[in-house]
Amino acid sequence: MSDIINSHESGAAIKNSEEQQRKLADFELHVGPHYDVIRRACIGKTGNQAQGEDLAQIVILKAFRYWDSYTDQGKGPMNWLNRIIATSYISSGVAEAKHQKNRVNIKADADNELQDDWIFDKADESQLGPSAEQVVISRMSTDEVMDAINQIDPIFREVALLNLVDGVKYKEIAEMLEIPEATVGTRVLRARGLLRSLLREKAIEYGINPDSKNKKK
Amino acid sequence: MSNLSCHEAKRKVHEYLGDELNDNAKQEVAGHLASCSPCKEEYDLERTISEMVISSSASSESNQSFYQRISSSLRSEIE
Repeated sequence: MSDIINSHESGAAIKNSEEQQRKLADFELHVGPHYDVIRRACIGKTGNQAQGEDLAQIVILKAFRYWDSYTDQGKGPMNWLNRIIATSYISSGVAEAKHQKNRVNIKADADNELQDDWIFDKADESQLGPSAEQVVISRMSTDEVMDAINQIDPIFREVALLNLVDGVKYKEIAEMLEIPEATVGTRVLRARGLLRSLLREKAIEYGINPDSKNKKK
Repeated sequence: MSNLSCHEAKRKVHEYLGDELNDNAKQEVAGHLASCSPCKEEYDLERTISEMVISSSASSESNQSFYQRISSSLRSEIE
């Protein structure tokens, strides 16, 4: 009798395991392509790489647990995932801690808007023309490029990467991060401006100055 | 040349690259770039930067370690 029960139990366990494997395969097929977007959205939300990756892991595990409740309405799972990101962010406690800094962040974004002009003015003042930066780019290794990208504050960097690498539109990023669309534009601009400043520094470090803006004018 | 100043064109180049502009604004930027070689040079640089960032991000080590972390946590979830 106990053999029959044991055999039933082990049969049920195998069936359950197979179902779980199938569920995981289905989940990875549909959600796997969005891991980068989830990760960047979480870093963009927390403004911190480690906290963002921890939050992204929580989001993905939660999404997996509730995967049976997801119904595809023809638009893919991103809207559903965004809701999980939003609720996980609030319950993670990071939102609470960050709330205190919100006023500062809003002010920082306003300041950055002013500084965007500063970045362009600075570029105009630079003795290096765009082709100097082109030369730098052609000489830089992938690691050097990533090093430069990683020097940019995550709050600007991840928004720019969401747009540039993942092709997420400003409007969707704004909904994802619960920030105004104009702020998304400002952050993208800021990230690109900072990257170009780093390229100009690299050009000087390399001793590259094939053309100057003053020469062209 | 379009009515756009160089300063405005430079500010809109990112949105132009990311296809974020409406048709009118897109035409304005395209018109300006076609007739202003310094701005066209800026645009080419921004495009190169985009390509550089995209190709470097694809092989980023931090992405790979994140994937591994997620994969193992999902697998331990079903064990």
